Amino acid sequence: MTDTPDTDSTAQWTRTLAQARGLDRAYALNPEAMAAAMARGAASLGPLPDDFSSVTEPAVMFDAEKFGGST
Amino acid sequence: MSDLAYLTIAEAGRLIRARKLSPVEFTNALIARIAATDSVYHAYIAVTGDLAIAQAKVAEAEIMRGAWRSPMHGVPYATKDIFDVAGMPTTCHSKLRVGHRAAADATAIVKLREAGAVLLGKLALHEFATGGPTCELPWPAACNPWNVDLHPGGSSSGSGVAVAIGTAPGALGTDTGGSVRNPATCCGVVGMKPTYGTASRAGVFPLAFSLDHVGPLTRTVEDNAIMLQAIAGHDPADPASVLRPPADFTAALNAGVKGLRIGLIAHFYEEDMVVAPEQSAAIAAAADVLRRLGADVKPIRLSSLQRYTACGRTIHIAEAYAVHERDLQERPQDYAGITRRKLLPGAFVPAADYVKAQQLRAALCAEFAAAMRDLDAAITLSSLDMPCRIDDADAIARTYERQMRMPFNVTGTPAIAVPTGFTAADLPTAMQIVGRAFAEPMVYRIAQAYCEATGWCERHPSVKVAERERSMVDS
Repeated sequence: MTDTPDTDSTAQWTRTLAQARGLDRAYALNPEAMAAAMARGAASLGPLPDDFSSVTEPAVMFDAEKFGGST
Repeated sequence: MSDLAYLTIAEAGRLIRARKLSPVEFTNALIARIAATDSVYHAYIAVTGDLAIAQAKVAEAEIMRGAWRSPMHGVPYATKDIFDVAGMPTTCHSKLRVGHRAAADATAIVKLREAGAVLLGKLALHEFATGGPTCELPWPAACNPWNVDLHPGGSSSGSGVAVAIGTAPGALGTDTGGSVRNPATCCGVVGMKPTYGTASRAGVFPLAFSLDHVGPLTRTVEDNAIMLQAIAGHDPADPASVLRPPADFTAALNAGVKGLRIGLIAHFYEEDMVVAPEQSAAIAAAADVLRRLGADVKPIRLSSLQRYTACGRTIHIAEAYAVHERDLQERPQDYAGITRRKLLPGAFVPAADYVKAQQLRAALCAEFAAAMRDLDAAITLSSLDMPCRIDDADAIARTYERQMRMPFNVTGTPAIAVPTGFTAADLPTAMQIVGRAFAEPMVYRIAQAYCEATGWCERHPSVKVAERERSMVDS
């Protein structure tokens, strides 16, 4: 057992996630930038306020008329 | 020549209306100045010289026969090259857009044409309004008018530079996380991000649809109000365009600030993040000026700067990625590296985080509205740092995290950047004046009182002229 990060598997994981999003070419251009993008995107929002809840808002009602549709 | 270069929109409009200044003469003078300076500053991607002269001649003929249209009739302006102009490429300063031709004018361009304004050309920006200065792109990056080795701010970099060096009295910019106010701050000019939906974004290449705003950059507050007046108003082609008629942005300009209640959002830069001493000292002095003019300036508290920034950043990168996903998948090599680094994180924002960020945004909007309920406006800094070197990519990346502009894209409320002085190195500092939704007249009123009292807007950089063009400027 070791505490040393498994860089090979991290790189493979990064590559797999990039491929899943169709970003193979961008990964090939700069694998390190892709790894940084994953970290930044996944952690972008950060901690939410203590009193934040995403279930307190009523659901938004789709209004076909407002969006230009017809019924 | 130099007199015409720094003629304001208001002064020029009055002289043109009185037939004491020819729009053609004014336009020719600015075209000559662009030719003389642009190899140094790189503000322009394209100069629409023939179109400008034709529009100026039409304006002149109309004015001579008494058909005056507006304070911008016969007055030249330029636009960030992210606005469509029919028949021209909208390059977005990107290799990906080479060969593009716009089929129609953006609504802001239409409105300015209807106001009688004269289009001088299209201006440099950060690639797709999100990259940064880099030599990887087909056009050079605009550089700071006060020191060409420094970053001019972005993403409306050419707009800030052109206005500061007197190659356009006003310019259009776009602001998704501060892209009008940042170059205004770094270039020492005035930049307004109006209330969301005030100026149409139809015909403007999008960055993040729920944060994108169109706004003007000018050398004076009055000019800014005049230019915003010309482009404001409902546009059914922009789903976010507000239905209410625009206010009169110049009506209260000279009403002063005596008796006004102004909040000071100091914790953004005193507690939430570390600030450069020059910026801190400048806003303290600005608050004192407003107090001397009769305003009651006192601290207010909002959520932390980091919370506003994280909320805006999450929405920004997710929406921007949606716009660019296909090109990032198919031709990522055609983006500059700095642009890819800014766009790719959006591929990895969890959907739940995007939804939560929009929910958090609603809470932050409510918080801001409550804080402003008993106030006429508030002030805070624009940038925490002074402009860094234009070739220092790491420092530039840091500046986009260390700013106080994104909170007002999150709230969608008006925010103007105005100069607050100059450092020992002759670099401009700036503050933001922010207001409630649709309170642009109040924001302009305070900005005008402050700028008139201090005179910072009247200071111009020492403009470098390319040697081979010097005779054109001197003549």
